[in-house]
Amino acid sequence: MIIAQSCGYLCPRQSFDGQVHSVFQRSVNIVTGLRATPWVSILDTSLSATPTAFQCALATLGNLATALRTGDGAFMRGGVIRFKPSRGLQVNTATAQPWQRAPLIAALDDSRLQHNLAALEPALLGHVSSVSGRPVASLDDYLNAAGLSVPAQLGARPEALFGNLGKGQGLTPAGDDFLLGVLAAAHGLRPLWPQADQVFQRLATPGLLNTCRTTDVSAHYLQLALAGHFSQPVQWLVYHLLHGTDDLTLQHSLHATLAIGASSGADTCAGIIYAIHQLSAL
Amino acid sequence: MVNTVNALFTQQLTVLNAGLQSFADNITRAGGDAVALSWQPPAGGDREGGRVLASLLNHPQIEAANEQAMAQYLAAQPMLVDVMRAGEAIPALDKHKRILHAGPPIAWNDMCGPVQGAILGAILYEQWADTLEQAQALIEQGEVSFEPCHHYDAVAPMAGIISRSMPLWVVENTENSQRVFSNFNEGLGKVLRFGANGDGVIEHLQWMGTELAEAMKAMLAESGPIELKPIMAQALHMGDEVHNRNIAATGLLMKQLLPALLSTALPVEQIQRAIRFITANDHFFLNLSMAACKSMLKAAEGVPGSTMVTVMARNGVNFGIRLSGTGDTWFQAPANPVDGLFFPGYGVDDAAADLGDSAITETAGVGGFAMASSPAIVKFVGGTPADATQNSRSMQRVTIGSNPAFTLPALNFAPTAAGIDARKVLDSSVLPIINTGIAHKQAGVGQIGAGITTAPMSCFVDALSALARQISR
Amino acid sequence: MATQHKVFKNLYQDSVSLMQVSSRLDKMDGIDGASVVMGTEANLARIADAGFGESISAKPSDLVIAVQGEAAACDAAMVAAEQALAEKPDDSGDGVPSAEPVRSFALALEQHPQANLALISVPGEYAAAEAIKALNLGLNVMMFSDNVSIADERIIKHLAQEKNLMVMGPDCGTAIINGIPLGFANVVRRGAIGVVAASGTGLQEATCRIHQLGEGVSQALGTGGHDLHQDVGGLSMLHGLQALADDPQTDVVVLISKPPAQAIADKILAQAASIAKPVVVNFLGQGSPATAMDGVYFADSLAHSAEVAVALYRHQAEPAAQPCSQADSDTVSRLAAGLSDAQRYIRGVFAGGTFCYEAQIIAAGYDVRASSNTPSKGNRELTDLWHSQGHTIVDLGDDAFTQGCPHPMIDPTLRNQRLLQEAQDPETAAVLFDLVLGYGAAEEPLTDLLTVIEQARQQSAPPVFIAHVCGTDADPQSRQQIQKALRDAGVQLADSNAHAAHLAASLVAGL
Repeated sequence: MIIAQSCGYLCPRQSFDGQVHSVFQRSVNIVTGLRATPWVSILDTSLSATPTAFQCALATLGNLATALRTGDGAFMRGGVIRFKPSRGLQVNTATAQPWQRAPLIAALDDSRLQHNLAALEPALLGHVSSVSGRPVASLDDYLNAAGLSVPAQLGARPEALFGNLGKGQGLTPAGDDFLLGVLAAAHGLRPLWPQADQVFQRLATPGLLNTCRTTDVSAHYLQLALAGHFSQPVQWLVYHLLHGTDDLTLQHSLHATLAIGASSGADTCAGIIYAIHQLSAL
Repeated sequence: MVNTVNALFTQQLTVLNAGLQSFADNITRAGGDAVALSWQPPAGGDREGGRVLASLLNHPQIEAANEQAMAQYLAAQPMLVDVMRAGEAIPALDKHKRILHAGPPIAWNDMCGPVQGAILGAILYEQWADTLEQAQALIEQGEVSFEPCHHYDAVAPMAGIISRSMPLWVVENTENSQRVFSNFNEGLGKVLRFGANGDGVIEHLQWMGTELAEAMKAMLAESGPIELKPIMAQALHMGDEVHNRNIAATGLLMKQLLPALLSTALPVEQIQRAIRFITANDHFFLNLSMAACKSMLKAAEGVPGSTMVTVMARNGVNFGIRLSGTGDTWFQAPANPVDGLFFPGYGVDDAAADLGDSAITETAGVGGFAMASSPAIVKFVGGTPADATQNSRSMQRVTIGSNPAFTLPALNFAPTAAGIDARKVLDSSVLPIINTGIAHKQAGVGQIGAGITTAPMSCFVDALSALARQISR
Repeated sequence: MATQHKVFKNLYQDSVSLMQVSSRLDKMDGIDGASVVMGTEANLARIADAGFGESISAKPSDLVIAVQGEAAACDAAMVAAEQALAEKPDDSGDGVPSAEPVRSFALALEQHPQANLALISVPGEYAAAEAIKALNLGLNVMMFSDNVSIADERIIKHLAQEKNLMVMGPDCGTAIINGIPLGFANVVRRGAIGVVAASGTGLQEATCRIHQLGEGVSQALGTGGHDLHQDVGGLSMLHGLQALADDPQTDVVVLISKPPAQAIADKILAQAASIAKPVVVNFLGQGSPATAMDGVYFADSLAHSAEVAVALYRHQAEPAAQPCSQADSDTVSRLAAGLSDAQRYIRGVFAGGTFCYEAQIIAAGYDVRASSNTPSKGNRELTDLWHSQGHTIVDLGDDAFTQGCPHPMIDPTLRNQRLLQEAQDPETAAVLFDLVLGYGAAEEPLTDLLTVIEQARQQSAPPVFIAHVCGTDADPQSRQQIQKALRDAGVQLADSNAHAAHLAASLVAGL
């Protein structure tokens, strides 16, 4: 039995009869069959917390992919998730504490935002340059390298961002992560700027997200994003970017976001910066 | 809130059936899924115990506490670091005339023959009296006090007598620097731990307390600390279960220690006598196995809410246990009879009740729990190799998990069951199995057989009831 | 004569198995009595009273065998008992090597993580703990076990509520979940009518009638006989009603119970009125209240509740409670014609407790006041259980009759004996009885019954036999075949228990 230490605020508490959707070395995704939370993940504590994930010390178990298979039964009873046929893994979620959500921002100090943005952008570009081994001087450079096309005026044609869906490598392709960043920024600014609200609403129009064009895992996170839910580091990065008064805290939350996946964090961060530039120009 | 009843309506029905078998059969006949339990009244039929258990099952606080206690047990790294005089290692022994014994606390008048005999021997050994009569008088005057070894983090087999001048092994858990102790094994025959207290016994103890202790201490200074878990793990692959059989472990220990012993500056005759004694004693490692087990379990002590058993010990009358979550409190019941084989000329009427701290090995997941590794002694402890494997398997039902440090070749290298969960003992009515030697009920006769016994159910019931009072749902 | 006993340590077996062994031993030559019981204090006292010896010492988890008879026979009986106890049904082999029996829910759940309901029929003294365990493990619960205190029932039901799980029982004999019959239940087709019942046979009658009328059942939930007790407050019934209200597969709900205390009835009816589905209520013997309630329909009998529910589901007019039709009157006249002057009384012999109760209420409507071991309001307590007097309607499934022998639904021996006894009474005009089919009930209910009826009909002045078969054609015992055999034997059959009671009561009322 493994004790889940924390859980996302959307994690189910009631029983479910689910199935393993996908399994990796340190994480399992489960399709639950529940209407409210059709998808939950069990993640090692080294991975970023999401609203629908239980986190526990999975690392001690070795490679999970050898214990579980796609299609295995996953059953929650009395707060314990068990699998069938494998009996090796049992996760007790009863004492898992939900992680703290970033608060909504009620007021914005524009100069503060410009200051934070000016600090964040070079830090991101520096990170991307050092990872890729090539100098990336601007957001446009970054977008070109990633093969992403973005509308010159976000407010005019936000839907164009869906054209990037599935572009790039990995479980969550770069185009998806970039869109996720745009959604995170627009969501954070919704209560403050009407143009942000408008962009978010247009992006959230039902039917735009063609899940066939990307991976199931990425589609899940985009669906959560369209409902206003983001992973813990992304929530807090947006919060500190819009509201923070401390450069160090901002740097920390940038690094937490950059730690997501191989390049997913950087792609998301690029989306956030792009969106704020665009929205503040409106 | 989503309604769970509707969740049942949308799930495929699978029934667990406790009681009338025909109900399960009918569900299956009707095309449903049913699993028929071989239900037994839990807690051996103790209704109140069953209720307490029910309230503690899948309790979030307990699950988390057990996970923590188990993790601390698994992380322990017991190292043999030193040899010390008992009074030096346990200062309370030097302050008063105090003697430690095996198992839970017991008054002099209630003690069994072998423990009384061994205590009298220890008094002679300490030269607090010259004759057995004087020793007895000293006790009756209330000059000598008695306490369990476990109260000072010590363990000792059978009568388990430790007095201030005896040498102790010092075992340290490098994870938390906690130290635990055990005495030296005296070998077989007329020995103090079976209650013998004649001149030969005392002389042998004196030799152990001086020459042997000195040799062992010097040797450890040469070798440096010795990791005990790897020796136990290897021995489990060589036919020991490190409780009733320690031949392989003793050999492995010697392999590590001989070069160091030979490089000490001690006189050759002293070294020769030490080696002769150790190599003639197949149980020499037992006391180290016990100390290592105590060290691992001490790491798991004191986790509030944990139902993990941290001590099982017997004083020749009662069996006592402690739980991690109930601290220093003992929960006792009369020891269960031993099912065993007797040496020729002895029978069940000659046997003392189960005795000794050595059940600490089972508490730590070896001994009877690792019986599958020791086909050589399965006959002695009742049955066939198949029974032994079955025993090891069935112990999985009463444990929190298993210990990957100790694996069993006969079970395809499955880890041993470890971390007894008192709740599971009640729920499954499976009692922890203990391999044990059988002492003659009269002091000094010695070992008259060996066998297996079980921990009594009521200890676990009482312990859980006490724990339940601390827990709220 | 000798007595012998043997104690088997920690060997638990269920009471039905033990009774089977007891009866096997009883039948052995040279054995005067045998008792195979778990070593509870009460059981030990009982066998001491029965003369098996005072000195038997055993724990509740020990199994005790005691026999009385010729010495050699006792020895043989002991051997036979040990063999019988060693017989074990095959393990449900799922390919997992499990040499050891699975003793607990916790362990079973590890092996079968998809399990979602615990069915508990262990002795009452252990049942509450098992239910609490199951709930703590996240399982829904059906408790067949009885003799659970009201205080424990409250604890269990509140725990279930807190965990959002369902509890049916204690003393719940019948349920149909997701189309699977549990306990004593009939095979009915799935459909859109949901049932919540505090009465086992009431639930069986309603679900069977729904099936017979061509519709089906979404879920049939039992609450247990004590759920509407003042101190329990109908927790299970309220919860079940809500569950069916939330269930998209359920269109119409049926509630069945003996009349509860007014405060509880009010609470249940208020909730019934508040849900968006029609609810048919049958509080046995209690007609419609003075004020009509929107969406709540009151039925006159168990069968009628099913008929109303089916009509509501089909958007048809509510059928009136079945009156005695012209055909019925003709039948009654025909039957009465064959009776002598001395034959004046109704004798009801029931296996289903609710059937007995309903028959008394209907008979009372004809001013036929019967004695009973379970008298309905206004009826008399039967003074001698074993001998009927005047109009008598007995429930042989009641504790008074089932001490130490199986329920007449499982083993109809007792019922058949009583039928014969009533038939041989020259004052009996009509023998009224029920035959309950389905899982859990006797597999061959006709075997002795037809012999008994045949024997009675050879008397000079046989009484009339009127019966109702509660079951469906999909049951393991086919209702159609059983009805034909009974009809061929001269039994007057009715569609429902209420109908049978009407026929019998109007017959004796007209004499």
